[in-house]
Amino acid sequence: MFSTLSTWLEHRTGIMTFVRAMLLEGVPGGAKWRYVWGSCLAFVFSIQLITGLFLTTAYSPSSSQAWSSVHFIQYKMDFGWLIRGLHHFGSQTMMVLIALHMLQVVIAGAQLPPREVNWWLGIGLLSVTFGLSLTGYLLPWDQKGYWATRVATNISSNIPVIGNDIKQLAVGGPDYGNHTLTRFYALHVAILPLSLIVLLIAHIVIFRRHGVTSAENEQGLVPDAPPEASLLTQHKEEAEHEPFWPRQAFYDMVACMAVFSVMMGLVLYGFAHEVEQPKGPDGAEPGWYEKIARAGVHGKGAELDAAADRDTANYPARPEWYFLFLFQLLKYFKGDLVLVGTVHIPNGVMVLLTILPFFGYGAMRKFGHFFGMFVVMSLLIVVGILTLFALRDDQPDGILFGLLKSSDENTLKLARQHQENMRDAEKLAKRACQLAMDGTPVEGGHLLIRNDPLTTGQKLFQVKCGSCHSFTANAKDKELKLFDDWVPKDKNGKANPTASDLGDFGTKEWVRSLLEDPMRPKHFGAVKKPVRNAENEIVKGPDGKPELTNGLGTMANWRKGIDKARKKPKDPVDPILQDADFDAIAAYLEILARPRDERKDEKAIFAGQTAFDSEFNKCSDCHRVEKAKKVGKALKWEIDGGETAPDLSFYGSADWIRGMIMSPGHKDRYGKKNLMPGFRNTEGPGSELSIREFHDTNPPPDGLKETPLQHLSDVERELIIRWIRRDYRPVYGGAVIAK
Amino acid sequence: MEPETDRRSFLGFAIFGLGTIFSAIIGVPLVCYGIDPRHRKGPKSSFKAVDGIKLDEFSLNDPRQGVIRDKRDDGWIHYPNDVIGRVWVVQSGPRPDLSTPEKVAAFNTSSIVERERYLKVFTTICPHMGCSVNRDSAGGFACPCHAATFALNGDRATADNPAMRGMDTLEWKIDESDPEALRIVVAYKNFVSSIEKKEVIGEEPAA
Repeated sequence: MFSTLSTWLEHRTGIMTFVRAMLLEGVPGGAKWRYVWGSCLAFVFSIQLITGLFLTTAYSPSSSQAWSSVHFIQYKMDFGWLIRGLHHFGSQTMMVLIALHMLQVVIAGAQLPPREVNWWLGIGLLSVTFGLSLTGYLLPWDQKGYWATRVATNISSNIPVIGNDIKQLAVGGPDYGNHTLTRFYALHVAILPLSLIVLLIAHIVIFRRHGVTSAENEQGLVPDAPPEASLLTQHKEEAEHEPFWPRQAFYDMVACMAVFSVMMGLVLYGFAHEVEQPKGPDGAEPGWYEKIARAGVHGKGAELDAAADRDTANYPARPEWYFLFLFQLLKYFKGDLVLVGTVHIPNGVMVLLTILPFFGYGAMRKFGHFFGMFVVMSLLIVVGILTLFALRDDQPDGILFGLLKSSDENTLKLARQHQENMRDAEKLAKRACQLAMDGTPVEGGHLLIRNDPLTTGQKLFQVKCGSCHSFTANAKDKELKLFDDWVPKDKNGKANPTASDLGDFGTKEWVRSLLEDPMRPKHFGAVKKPVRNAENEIVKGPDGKPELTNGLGTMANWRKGIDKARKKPKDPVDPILQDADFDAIAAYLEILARPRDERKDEKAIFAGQTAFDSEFNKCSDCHRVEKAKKVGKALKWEIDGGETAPDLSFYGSADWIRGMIMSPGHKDRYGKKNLMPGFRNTEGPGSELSIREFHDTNPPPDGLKETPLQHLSDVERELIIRWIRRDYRPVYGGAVIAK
Repeated sequence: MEPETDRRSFLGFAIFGLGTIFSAIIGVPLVCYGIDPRHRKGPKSSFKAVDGIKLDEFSLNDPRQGVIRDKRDDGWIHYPNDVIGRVWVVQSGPRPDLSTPEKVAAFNTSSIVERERYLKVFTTICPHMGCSVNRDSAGGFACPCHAATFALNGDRATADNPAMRGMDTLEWKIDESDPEALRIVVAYKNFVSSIEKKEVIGEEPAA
């Protein structure tokens, strides 16, 4: 059956003859391990083709979607991590193999006549492979690719006369974005691979025309054969040599598998950022298949940096390692000499490589053979050294166990800065990969970081709130390794907080500590206000600066009263019982911060309420608060209490903090005692009304014409609130992105 | 057998063996990657308001169309609040007594058959090929694509109809959060088209 079918197929197509001709190609001088590199390259290229094809089925080349779609491949698609990982490391493997292949070619002298054309095709293949690497590096549209591509394309703009046009054509306009991606995508998945395939076919056909370059076959198999000589006639002439099948085929196979094992090893070792594994629909642990198929969440596969964001202060851009030598070269040619490093030397080298075969004519052949080896080996050595120098310059402790270390103080300083930037970039990348597990906003993955309370919220806090408020990190914050304690500093770098410490603000512990001693620096101890004389003028000290006194002293006076009552000779207040009351109040306020239908613990609510109203504790004298009454089974909430201090319903909740930021002097909060400026959106639609309402509801404090008001956008405000409350879900346009 | 042939066939086997192992190592993940969409589940449906239409606005056999919004995932994109579908709501019987919150709660616990005696909620997606069903001049519904026609109660209007089943009803109940203005909430779903049975597309098992 099979043989009938194959006979029929052979008769109609000649396929068997073709395969036989391919496999029985002669290898003059016999099979050798050193001939494997070309096959390995073709093998890795086919892996690139297959994995690349599969990647295109899930990739979206647009500046808002590219990163998210790659994240989806890496973390959510079955074996996406493996396919993408192989493709990523495949490109690096090709670079190494090209170096080895070239080296082997010049050692054999295979660039010399009659094989000049094949050498030139090889140089073409090298250029196309460089092009594929360069374009592929941008496609994930992550910070790494984005900033490296900016550098690469700007280098092309250095070329005299046409440079800017080349750059603008590559970038697709004056700036980087959708058009850059669509162009790079077209180059990467169609134009360059097709060119490579055409060049590769020509390369292989011409290779078969001349055969391997061994001592027995220096001049090629059929130097004088007419161009129309068919594969079959060639085959006859080759018959005296050992055929390709099976020994050379076996060597090639073993080498290809070894290369593939290295690639797989890199993929399995994993260079991606680990993220938390999402639970199944019922909160179930993932099964064995999910664990393997989505091993990207365990950091397997290739790295994915944070999404490209032009709003990045100091991204430490570096090209992929095989382009580091060009990067390093750029450092040595500054100012007017920049063209030497970017254009003259690289293109000069390409020209030199191109003319290498010409040194093989006639009597020059021996010299040409030596010269070819000399050029390529020197080139590889120089590239290697430049790469090592580039790595060395970025490592303050040097590389190769400190053997290679820069002695230049300035370089070391930059290296330290670079490592610090790298660490920051890594943190953001990990954070972005984690956040995108819940999906990304349609505007693009960069918003995940821009609207991330943990990273951006923290920065905003430092800029907008941090000149007065401190923020002491707790143990859990430190575990995240994303921030340290924040303390406002004056011009001389001395700690100078003038408002409360908002670390743990509004928690039960915070309230309890405040009741213990309101004048701790954490609470009102740091709150300062200028001293005023009888004419309500600010009193200046001998140094010309306003004299300061403690602000918000009412709570201090309250505590003095509490302590006095405890030491009364007659009927002193029992401190143990009262402290239990304070515990109950702290617990009660924490419950009050929740939405009404989530306040469930009735025992704690009523205990806190009673303590709040107690004649010994006196909270109700000044503060009002929502109190519960039992109606049927449900709780009904009514506000009740004094009006000279802030309303403590929802104290510490996002709503309360929002009110405090937008309207700190409102009668529900600090009223005329308020010392904090308001923060509102003072730009755009509705802002005029908002400003007017702010001044209507925030009467000026004593001695001021009006309460100061500063601009803070709505999203910025929400980011700060979430950061203070350690609610790290990203904000977008007021809506939550995380589910 | 001659040693030379022996060695040749060993090498041949080794090449095919290595090739097979390699093909499996790369082939299995490629296939799994390729069929990955096969086991992506549809979103879980939960009861969502219909465009704020109040119960008072319905009258007998006067269909109203409304929009259902919910969070929606489109591959890697998460839309916090997007339109997930449209529905037709038809009052098919007299309004039950819903004058107290207790009565509303009791009505909500009655069977869906019972509730549909009052209101029926249809997805606008045609059960034939998935176009959007509109009103027709005969007083029922008609699909503009392949002329499937339906009566107001959702049944197929004629027997020679391209649709294999009537319009797909969705489960609904009354939103109890605002007793002053009663509204309905609907659990929106997508159904497999052009089969006789009503079958939900890729729904995850209920939690």
